[in-house]
Amino acid sequence: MSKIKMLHLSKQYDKQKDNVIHDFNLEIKDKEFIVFVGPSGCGKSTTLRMIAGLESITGGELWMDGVLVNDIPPKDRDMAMVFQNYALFPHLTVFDNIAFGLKIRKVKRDVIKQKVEKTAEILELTSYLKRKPKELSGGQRQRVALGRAIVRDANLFLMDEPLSNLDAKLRVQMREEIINLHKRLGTTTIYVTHDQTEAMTMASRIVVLKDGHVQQIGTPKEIYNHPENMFVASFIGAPAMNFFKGMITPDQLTFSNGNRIGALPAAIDKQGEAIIGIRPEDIILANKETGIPLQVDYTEMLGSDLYVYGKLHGDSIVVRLRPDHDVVTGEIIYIEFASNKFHLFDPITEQSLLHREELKQ
Amino acid sequence: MNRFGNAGKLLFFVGIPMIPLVVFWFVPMAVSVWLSFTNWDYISPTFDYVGIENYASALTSADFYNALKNTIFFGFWTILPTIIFGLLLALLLRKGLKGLTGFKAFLFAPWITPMVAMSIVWSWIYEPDVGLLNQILGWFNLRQPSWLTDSEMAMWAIIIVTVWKNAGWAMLFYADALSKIPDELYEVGNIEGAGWLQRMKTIVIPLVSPTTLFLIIISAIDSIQAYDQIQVMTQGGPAGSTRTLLYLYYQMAFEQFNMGQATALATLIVILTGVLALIMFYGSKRWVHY
Amino acid sequence: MEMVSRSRKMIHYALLTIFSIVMVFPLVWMFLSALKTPEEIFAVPLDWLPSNPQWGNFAGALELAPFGLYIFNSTFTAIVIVFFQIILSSMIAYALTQMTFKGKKLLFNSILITYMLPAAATYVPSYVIVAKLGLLDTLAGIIISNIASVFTIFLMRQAFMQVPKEMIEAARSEGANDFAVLRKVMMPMCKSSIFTVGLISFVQMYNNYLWPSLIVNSQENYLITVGLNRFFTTSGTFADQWPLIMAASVLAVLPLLILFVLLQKWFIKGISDSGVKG
Repeated sequence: MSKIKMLHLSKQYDKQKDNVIHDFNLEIKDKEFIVFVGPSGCGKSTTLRMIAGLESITGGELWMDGVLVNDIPPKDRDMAMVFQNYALFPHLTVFDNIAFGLKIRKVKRDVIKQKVEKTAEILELTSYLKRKPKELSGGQRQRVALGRAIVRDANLFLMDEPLSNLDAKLRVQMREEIINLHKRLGTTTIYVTHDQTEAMTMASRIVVLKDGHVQQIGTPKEIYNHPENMFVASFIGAPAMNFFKGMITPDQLTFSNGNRIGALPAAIDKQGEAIIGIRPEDIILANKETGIPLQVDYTEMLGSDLYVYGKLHGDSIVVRLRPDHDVVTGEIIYIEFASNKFHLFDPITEQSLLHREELKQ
Repeated sequence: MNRFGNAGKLLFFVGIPMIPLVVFWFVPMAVSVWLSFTNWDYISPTFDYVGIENYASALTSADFYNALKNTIFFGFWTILPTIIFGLLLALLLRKGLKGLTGFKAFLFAPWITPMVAMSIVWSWIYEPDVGLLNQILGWFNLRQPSWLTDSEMAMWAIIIVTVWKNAGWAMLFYADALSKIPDELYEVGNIEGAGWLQRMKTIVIPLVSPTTLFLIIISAIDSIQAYDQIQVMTQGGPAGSTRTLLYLYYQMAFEQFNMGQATALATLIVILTGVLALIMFYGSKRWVHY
Repeated sequence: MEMVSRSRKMIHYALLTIFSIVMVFPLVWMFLSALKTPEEIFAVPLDWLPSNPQWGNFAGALELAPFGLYIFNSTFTAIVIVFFQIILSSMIAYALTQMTFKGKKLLFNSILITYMLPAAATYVPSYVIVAKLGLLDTLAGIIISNIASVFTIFLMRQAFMQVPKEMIEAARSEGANDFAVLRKVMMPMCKSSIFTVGLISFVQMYNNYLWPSLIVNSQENYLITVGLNRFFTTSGTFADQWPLIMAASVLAVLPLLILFVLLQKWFIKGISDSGVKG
């Protein structure tokens, strides 16, 4: 069991003026699968390494199971870490790589053997135990790295982009395996990725980071459906959410020129200019009379979906349609927006204008 | 491209550079072996074939075995400290320290200097009564040997100079090899709580092992060829205690002009080098991890 | 980045400083001794610093032997040798990397084996060959017998192998012949490797002692290593002579130290990059 509390964590490197991490607050419950997601340089790996003890903590407090661990060395934090490039020892066999931590900790030989074999079984590595890492495929190497983490029965797993060195197909498969492993072992896990799909599919809660600031913390559903600002709205979801300029009037949303867009999704205090966001799948085809005309610039056929790109009053938008629609470049289609699916943002602060209480539901 | 053009090009690109290579390497190598079966003395125009007599007399002479023993002793005690010292120096040069290039330059500087000049300087440092080394030893009330004239110490004196000159060179290779070990591997050790010794044993030494093999082979070949420091400091003495195989060869060939015996010795040195290289190469499969 | 605590860093600095001092100290001691009077140099307990630097010791050493000439001889032969080594080695390295011909493997293997064998094994016949060419006791004899360098061939080949195939193919498709490819593509692309190889070869040739000492006999042809050792052995170890011997050693080492100070980055980076033999 492992509970982690981060209070006002911050990180600053010697030579830099600005903090890399600002005021990071998060409480992690036992058995949670937390994903830190954000673009490169957002501080997600640094935060993970601070939790591991590989980076010093400049400010704030890090608590693990009620113990302040700021100055406790990595080995005493009872966690295991999986690295992006696997960090396997090229000169050791799979068995010895998995057994590495146990050997360092001077565990008895027969216990090591038993534990490694059990781990290998879980990860289907039993027939590879005598091989060296260079004789393994990328997926197998990653499993060995996972094996080194789980063999120790650590209370906390830290994973730093563990799948980004794998090809697309293998990544999906390993994603599945990690999720199952988590279900089986129930070990609290913190997982770092830049891939929003991984975040959405794996996390029990997501932490979105940008430039060292936490943007939003929430379940995948909350983050997707109720992004708190434009960054989160655009970062999570592919293709990204459409944004265009609009106006909030007391009873409806309009384009800047006054044409109606749709009804207000909720009661809103603010009126006037706003950024309106709508996800590609929340745009639907309409008939000629009621719909908004959109000239098709180009289309992308993905098999399962058809993406249609065009411009609406100067803003590029993308519409996600079922693949059986016949849409060709240059054609004019008529669209409307699914009611209640609008996201409204302040044009200056880029924060969501929808009420927080409403978000929490 | 026609055949003639190709042949002409080959003649140019390979033929011309091959001339000095053949004249001063390949032919002498072969001639040396041939001479080792003769009793040529360089001065007289004629000579006789003596079969394996030169080899027989070399392999039965006490001088040869004494020189062989000295060569092995010298080789072992220069290679081992050079490698250990080189690795330790490289380990001190951690990333993130300031002035790394400066330290590297200082540590490497001895390699650049002529061995002849530095052997002279060290002869002065080794001077038994007023030399720097013995005066320093005197402060600590340690024994002050007469380094270069004591047959117990002379070889050590030569070893010290050789290690001093080569350690910085080994350090450069190790520094390069260490910089290629991914940080994550150290971090794994860190997370698992590996101490310094464990980290050396499980991470550093296995991962720099190709460099270690390279350095051992090159240093071994180097130590077999060591000549300058012996010539300047002891001329093989006292009492033959610093006479290595190569020095014995030099004395036979260019002091006694006993070319037959000298070339036989040269052939033995070549064989020794080859065997040594092969042993190290094949033996390395057990401890070198690429 | 590993967390290195401040105290650990200080220990590293301290040890590095101590070792640096130890390594450089013989050089420093040489300089200090060269500036002392015979009384100071023989003082017990030690006189660390000369009370009155005896710059005249250098003039004194130069009076006893023409060290300037020796240094010139060494520098001159080393430069000429390196020049030819680079030209010849680049040609054969080009053939080894870019051309296909029968016996290429055999050629490379014989070069590789030669690289591993003690050069001294060839000295007796080589000496006879130099004598037969009538080049004993000439600088030309030293130069000619040293222009074939297995070591440079080896490293040039390694450098040439790093040149991307596309570059060569592009040059070929523009109509460049082999000479043009070697001169306009390979050599410029491997400039820094060639420079390092040349630099190290220069140092080795300048420091070379055994072989040149066999070839040259008369003083006007002495290389600095040969001349210095003769000076050392003939002047004996009398008290008066030590400061002069040290001054002569300083003269011998100085050109290389200046070269090293100016080009230390090349030495330090180049040596570990290229896997250079010592």
